[in-house]
Amino acid sequence: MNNNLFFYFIYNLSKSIFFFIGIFFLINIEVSLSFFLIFNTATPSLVSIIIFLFIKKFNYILSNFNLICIGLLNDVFLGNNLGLTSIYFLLFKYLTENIRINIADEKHEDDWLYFTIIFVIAFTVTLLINMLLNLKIPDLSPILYYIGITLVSFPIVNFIINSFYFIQRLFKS
Amino acid sequence: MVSGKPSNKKTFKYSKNFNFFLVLLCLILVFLGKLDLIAVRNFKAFVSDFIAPIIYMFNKPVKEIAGVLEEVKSTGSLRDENIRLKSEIRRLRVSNSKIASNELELLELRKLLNSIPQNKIRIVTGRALTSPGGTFANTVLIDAGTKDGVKIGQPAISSLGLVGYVVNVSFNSSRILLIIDINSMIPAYLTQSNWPAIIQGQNSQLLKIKFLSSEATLIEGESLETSGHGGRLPAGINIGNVVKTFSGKYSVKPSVDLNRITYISIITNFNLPQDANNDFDGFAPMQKPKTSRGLKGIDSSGKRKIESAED
Repeated sequence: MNNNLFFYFIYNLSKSIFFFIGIFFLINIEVSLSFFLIFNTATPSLVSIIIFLFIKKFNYILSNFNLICIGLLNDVFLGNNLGLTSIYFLLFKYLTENIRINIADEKHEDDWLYFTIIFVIAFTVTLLINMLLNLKIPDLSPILYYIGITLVSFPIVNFIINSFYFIQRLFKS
Repeated sequence: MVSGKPSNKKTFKYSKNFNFFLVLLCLILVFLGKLDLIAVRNFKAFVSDFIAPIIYMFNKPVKEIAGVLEEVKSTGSLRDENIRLKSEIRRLRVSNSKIASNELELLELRKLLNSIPQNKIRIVTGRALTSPGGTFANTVLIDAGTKDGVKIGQPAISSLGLVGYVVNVSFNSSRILLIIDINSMIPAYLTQSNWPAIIQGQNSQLLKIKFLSSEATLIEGESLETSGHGGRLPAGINIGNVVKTFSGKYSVKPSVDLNRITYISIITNFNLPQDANNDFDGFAPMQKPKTSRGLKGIDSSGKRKIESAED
């Protein structure tokens, strides 16, 4: 029994570490995307899309500790106020989990709509905290571009993940 | 909640309070970070130092791909570009000879006036490890740190003008707050009319002109330079040009393309106000001496005032 528990713990730990490295890799890609002309103003939040899809679609909940660590790393990465991205990730996770549990959407038809609602709410809260900290209102055009480009990227990322999933199942069968 | 474990309604209810506690904890961390505590600054510096090579490793291929794509895109306009460059060379040759004669004249006049020679700037150049891709902050990490003589507050420039200033420094790397960041405020002056102003970032591609006198008239294309007021930045560094936006308002377009910046130089021999031995009084007007506050009928020495009969 104890042996089983230990292996379960090790299994979860390795999963957490794997996800942490994966998300860290994704943050790097997200930041470096700004070298492309189209993403000069803002880069899409790929991490948000991945977190949403993993919770909503694959029923995989990332640990809070993992999210806080990723958020802190992201803040150091971009020079944000320490803890701001962690708040965003925690709120995002909470809202996504809430929708997954309370709204039955087996076919995942309204995923884009739910993502839009969750992303806008979580981002607005973070933006307000940031405005409160700086006591200044930033220019809205890059913020709106950021929201827009993330929402546009969602179906693309979703399609890529679906394709991978499909190919994987095809190979298995 | 254990990572990877599918949640259900019961566990979700329990984790709800814990989630809010964590959000609150992060909020406290955000405000602590804003206080600019030494411990937080050191933590940031340590982590930056640690992840700097990893960031560079990840950024390099993406940067190369973006570069190749742009080169492919620019091949279509090679002929036009060639013609433009040839005319530019001709124009520069003429202005070069003019500058050379002007420089000689300037040196002679300086000698005649016995004016104090300007200090030569000493710079340290570092490679940009990140790009300014943040929504809330516009900073760049470079691979030059305290080992190269970089200190907090030192100005960062490129061949075209001002980039920003150092806000955090570690042994191997330092973070530069770009002029487009919302927290950046640069004292500047208009080069044609000499009016002073403050140039503030807006987290966008354009900068805001603040505290400009109502008498000043802005000309489209007029360049702005650092004024050196406040002693934080040296005077005469190019910032950008005045542009008119669609809404009819005037803004400043930075002369440096901050999204494509590869190398950044730090002026290391510039004395910041806190570093300088002489007391810097600043440019603020002298404050009036405070009037002593006391109780009614008692003077500043604590003795009872002798009031006249009319009072």
